[in-house]
Amino acid sequence: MARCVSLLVLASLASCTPEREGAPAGPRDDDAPPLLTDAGTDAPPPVCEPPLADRSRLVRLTARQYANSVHALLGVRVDATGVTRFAADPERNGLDNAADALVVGPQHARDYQRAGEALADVALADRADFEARFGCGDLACAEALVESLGAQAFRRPLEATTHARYLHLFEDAAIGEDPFRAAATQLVAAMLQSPHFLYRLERSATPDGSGDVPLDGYEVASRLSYLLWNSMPDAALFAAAEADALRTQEDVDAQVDRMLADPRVADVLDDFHAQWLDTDAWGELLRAERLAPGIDAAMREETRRFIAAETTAGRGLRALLTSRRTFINADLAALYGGEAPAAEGFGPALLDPEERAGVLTHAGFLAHFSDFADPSPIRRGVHLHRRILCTELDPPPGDAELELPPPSPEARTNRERVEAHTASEGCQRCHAEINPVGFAFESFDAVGRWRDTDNGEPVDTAVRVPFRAARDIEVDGPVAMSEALAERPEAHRCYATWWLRYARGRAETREESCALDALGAASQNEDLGALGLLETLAKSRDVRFRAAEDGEDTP
Amino acid sequence: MRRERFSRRRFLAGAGGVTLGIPFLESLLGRGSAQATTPDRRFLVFFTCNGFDVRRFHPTTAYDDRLRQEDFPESAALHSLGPYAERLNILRGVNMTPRGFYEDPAPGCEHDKGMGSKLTAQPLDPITFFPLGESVDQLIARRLNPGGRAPLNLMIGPQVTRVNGIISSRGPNDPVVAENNPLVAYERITGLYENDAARDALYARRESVLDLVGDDLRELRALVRSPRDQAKLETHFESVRQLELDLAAAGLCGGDTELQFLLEALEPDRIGSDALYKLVGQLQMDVVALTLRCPGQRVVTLQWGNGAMGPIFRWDGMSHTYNHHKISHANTMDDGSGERLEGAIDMMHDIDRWYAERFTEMLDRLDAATEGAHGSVLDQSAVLWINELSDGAIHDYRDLPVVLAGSAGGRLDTGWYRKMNPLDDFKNVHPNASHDRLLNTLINVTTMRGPDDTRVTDFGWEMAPGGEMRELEADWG
Repeated sequence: MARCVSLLVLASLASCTPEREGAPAGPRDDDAPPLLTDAGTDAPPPVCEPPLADRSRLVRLTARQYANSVHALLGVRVDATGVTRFAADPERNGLDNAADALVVGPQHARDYQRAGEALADVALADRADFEARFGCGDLACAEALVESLGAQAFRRPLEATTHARYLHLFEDAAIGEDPFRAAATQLVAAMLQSPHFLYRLERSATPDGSGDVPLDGYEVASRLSYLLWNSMPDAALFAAAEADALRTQEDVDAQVDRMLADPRVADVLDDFHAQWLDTDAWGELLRAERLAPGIDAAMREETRRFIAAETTAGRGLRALLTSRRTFINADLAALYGGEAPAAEGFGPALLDPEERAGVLTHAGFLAHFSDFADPSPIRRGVHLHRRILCTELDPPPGDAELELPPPSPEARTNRERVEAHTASEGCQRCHAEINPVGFAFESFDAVGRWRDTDNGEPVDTAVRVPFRAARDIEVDGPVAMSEALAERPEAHRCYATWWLRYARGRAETREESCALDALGAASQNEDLGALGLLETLAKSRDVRFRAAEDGEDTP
Repeated sequence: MRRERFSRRRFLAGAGGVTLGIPFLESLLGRGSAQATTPDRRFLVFFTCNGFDVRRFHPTTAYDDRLRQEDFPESAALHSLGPYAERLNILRGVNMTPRGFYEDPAPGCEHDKGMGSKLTAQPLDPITFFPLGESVDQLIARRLNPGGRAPLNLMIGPQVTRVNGIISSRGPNDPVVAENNPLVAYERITGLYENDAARDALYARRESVLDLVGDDLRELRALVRSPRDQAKLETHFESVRQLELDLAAAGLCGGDTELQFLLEALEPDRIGSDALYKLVGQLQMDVVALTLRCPGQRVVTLQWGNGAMGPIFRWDGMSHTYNHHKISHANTMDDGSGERLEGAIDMMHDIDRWYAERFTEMLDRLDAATEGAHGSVLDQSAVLWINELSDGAIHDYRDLPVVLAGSAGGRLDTGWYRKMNPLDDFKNVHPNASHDRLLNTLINVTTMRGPDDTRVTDFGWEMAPGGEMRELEADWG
């Protein structure tokens, strides 16, 4: 049940204007009215603050977080060691960072062993850099080395017993021709396999008057750094934690503002959007026509660059669905029917406003959700429903005939064939929703090129998408569809929902419904961008507290 | 200040582990369920995907008659297995549980079930689509391996982390992605080292790290209290224990310098590619043979490719344009939306024949390793070749291709072409032919120590028919 007692969510929304140095202003900066007066009344609408959801206190780093943390700690890239493969993180709700699913199974333990040994070797290969990082290059300062390396690797100062254990390991390993190197290598390898490094452990255990458990500075620092950078805390966060300057909301807000202005936030923007749109799965294209070699990789690159440019500039869902700005190379220019960039490689370009708007009209999306010879309105429609509108769709029945009938006098076009094939009442239970969304993109062929005709007939992109509890979408063509989607509350709420899942590492709770309504509304009405959503989620009370577990008494 | 630690592992490796026999290892690692009296049997699963061409696969033998070499004519996909006729059981009419086509209340498409349910006899979780229970390789390894060491799960082709790429499962929603790099597998069974001193040093380092990790985990156990987080720590503990078992067993298994040379030449980034499919397959089979020859690991799964995927066969006389899955549907697209593929059934047959030849080579490797008075490793093994599906074109789960080789140390009565389904039309399923019964029998023939041991008859989900395929068993004698 929602406890509608605080204005915290909206209050932090109101401070979301992106004013970071070097970041171009988003569209809402100047003329958007302040959020709290947006309702047109003096009294703001009641806003909920859901109870904190139960969450694991022991969250393993994702593969990406591991790689970023190792780089921040040692200056070594995981893929520079030759150990490039990690068991993949399990996927829940389309995301790979679900706290409950991240465990250290046998494969992970083996991967961490191999990677830890290899990374330690590489880290000690540059002895000067290692010494500079941790202020120790000989056996005499072993204690200081364990303390300095440990406090960073474990993201908090070591307890005395832990310190003693690692010091012992170091001393045991100080043998051979170069005892310091041998010992330091063993120390790094061990720390990289330690649960203190692999998990984000929240050991704070005493609830305050609210009944929730306030996290200590080091825990808040880690929450912030993994949420906003997918990496370990930097020196400033460690300093704030040590000074106990992450206790209040103001403390946290100041750090969030600093961190959002840091280029490291790009990693999270990239990671989130790649998972949300599943662009990582846009693989090799096998199509009836011969394609320029590497154009499938170029399609992924276009969308990746587009998302990075729009979101780091403070923009959000509306821009992602409607912006004409993009980045293309010569092959994509040929496909889009435009001019190639002047220089080699990728350059900025504008999409033809009559034909294209936003990511759903990028060749990557259109071509990936196509079949060998024809576009696939069904697959385009399903993906769009699931990812943009959060429509829950059942998988097709096991005996569904997936092959479309060939063109016939009654069904000449791709659209007509799909309509005929899914006409039965059983199919229509889902396809009444799925098909029209996809049909709006029928003016793009199986590789994402514009087309006016299909099998000699004019392409028909006029559709009506039924909604169970809202007005239908009635549009003609991909641009109109993208623009219509950009104005749908369902789409903005869906985008906010994916962000919440990503930020919290769990599915949304029923009590969070009102918070998602508010976030979705802010995305839609205030053009709250990806950074703004991230800021709101980072400035939430959920970052400074955790829910008490069963058996943890209120004081 | 060096502290001398003389642990069981350093002792093993430092004292020239190769000469130490399995009973000694067991006495050191007697923490698991395996006992010193555990039969020295092996279990190998040879798993292929995307179904087969039933019409040109089997021998010409009459049902429930003896298999003879001349029953494997050139025209049959199993032709190359002729020399092994007397050491095989070939089963007909076996159908999977949960049944496909939604005849059982079990979610997931048939490819998902074909992969996830085959070794588990469990339905899939409706959210994650991973099976809801342990797979048979894990159970047998727990009982058969020293220390309950986990099985070696290997594959050929790209690793896929969804259910259509995974056959092994530690428990509900706990899938095991198989290792597709034979070098990594080789390292796990032999240890990789330049000389004994280097090996001893590496083992000592790993040992001290694992000890430390164990201490850290114990420390955390006192800090987090929820059952969920405690379970995470237990999983981690068990993972560390498995690494310790790797360390202990690796010293017992001699290396193979020629094989190691070939494995180190593989480019890691191309391991999963079609171009290396045949080569990696051969190397993985070498690793399997080496593994099953050594003490310390008696259970292996070898998965060829993935459900609903490739490879595209372009070797040994095949020059296909489309991957195995597309060919199984005679269609140029994986989702069936492409053009009809002419001649696809002949391509399926060629693929079946190719896999049969690989299976024969696998048996050759196992038979080449002798076990003294016990015959060969093959004689000590139960080797199961099974497929994700039967007729891939319709995702059929009935009349699966089942070839069983070896006698599991005399526990299987071999040399038979067996009709397991009492009905004449195998499209009609029968509980006697349900594949959970086959799994029960495989558990029993590999792990029972004597006729009075408790039999497993209920592996898999609660709606599985249960029981055994007792006719496959030899009398205790």
